[in-house]
Amino acid sequence: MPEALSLVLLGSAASFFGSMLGIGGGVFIIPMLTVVFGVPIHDAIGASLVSVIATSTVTGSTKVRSRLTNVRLAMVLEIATTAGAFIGALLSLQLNLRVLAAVMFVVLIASAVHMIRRESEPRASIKEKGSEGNAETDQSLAQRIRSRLKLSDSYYDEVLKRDVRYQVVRMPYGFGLSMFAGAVSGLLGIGGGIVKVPAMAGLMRVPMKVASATSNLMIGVTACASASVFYAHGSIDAPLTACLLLGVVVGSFLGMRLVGRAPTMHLRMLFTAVLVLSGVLMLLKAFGVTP
Amino acid sequence: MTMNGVEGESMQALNHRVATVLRVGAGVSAILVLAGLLLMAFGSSADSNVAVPLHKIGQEVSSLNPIALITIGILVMILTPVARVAVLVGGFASRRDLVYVLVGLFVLVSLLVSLALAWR
Repeated sequence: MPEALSLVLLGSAASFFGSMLGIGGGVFIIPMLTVVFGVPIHDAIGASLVSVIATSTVTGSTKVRSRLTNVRLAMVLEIATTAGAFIGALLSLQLNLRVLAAVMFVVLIASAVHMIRRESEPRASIKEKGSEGNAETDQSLAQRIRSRLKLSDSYYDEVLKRDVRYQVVRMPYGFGLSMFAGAVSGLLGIGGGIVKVPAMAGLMRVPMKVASATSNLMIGVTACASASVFYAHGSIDAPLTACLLLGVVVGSFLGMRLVGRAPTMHLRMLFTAVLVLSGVLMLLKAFGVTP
Repeated sequence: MTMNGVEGESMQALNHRVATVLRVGAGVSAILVLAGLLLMAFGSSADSNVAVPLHKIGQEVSSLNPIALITIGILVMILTPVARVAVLVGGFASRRDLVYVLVGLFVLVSLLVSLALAWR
């Protein structure tokens, strides 16, 4: 019973701070479950996949109504992420704790770096991105496909106090990276926003806020593909998953209400330390240095 | 060019429907899971914590296995994004947006294939 309550707390804290810091909750859940609660790695990943779907669902139910979410872009890229997630999940079930902990360590460090750099969300770059994209008229086929997909959209920017129009460029690269993001998600039981958000914002020139909201919506469908693999394999521990799910529903609901209050630099530094430390602890456990 | 008034408005209506599906899915899932946990804490016990396989769920629920109840709750959560895509396909179909009907159907089919493959 006390363990159940601490699992609910873990779920709500992870999703609350995850949404506040813009890195999702999975990166906190996996190390905590394996290191502190001693959960077998595949049970931890299975539970985390369901938590990640819960975060995406609760957060998406509010965000999808704002024009920040590009539903069309999400749907096109979901073709890639679901395929990647399915392969990632099958692969994950074949790998042992050591390999998974090592890959997780890389992702935790990347998340820590992403969290610090997010501080300086480039206001200047929110300007009319892709307005010069018409220069690429030489690729007529790509151009035709792009116009059929109608991915260009606009959103209201609360900082700039006006509508911002944007175009989506380099779809093939975005598609490839989305498949990779799906694979990482299925492999480790995280959302994969750490790959998708930079891919959309950096490469495809989607505004940062749109990239983040669109990535969140995609996570649900993506993790659905991998969660079903874990379920069929018998790697969903029902009570463990249930406790986390409840915590995550509450935590992401609260986190969403408080979005807009940017976390201070001190909080960022604290969680950077938490991420790096949990990565190290997970490695130590995986390689048998600590029990 | 894509966001002319009419299209922007019906897209907004579609997004509202999507939001409703997501909210109902999350709510139903949380209630089922909570009911299962309470049943486990105060009532019947279960011999295994592993989520009940699909073909045994009906039988296990009727014998009040709390794990089966929790499993249904988890499955509702897992399938909510699928319902979301289905609603979008319907919405795009009613707007005669053939490209996105196909894109959505492709996503749905690949999810079903991964479900089917996972169960072999």
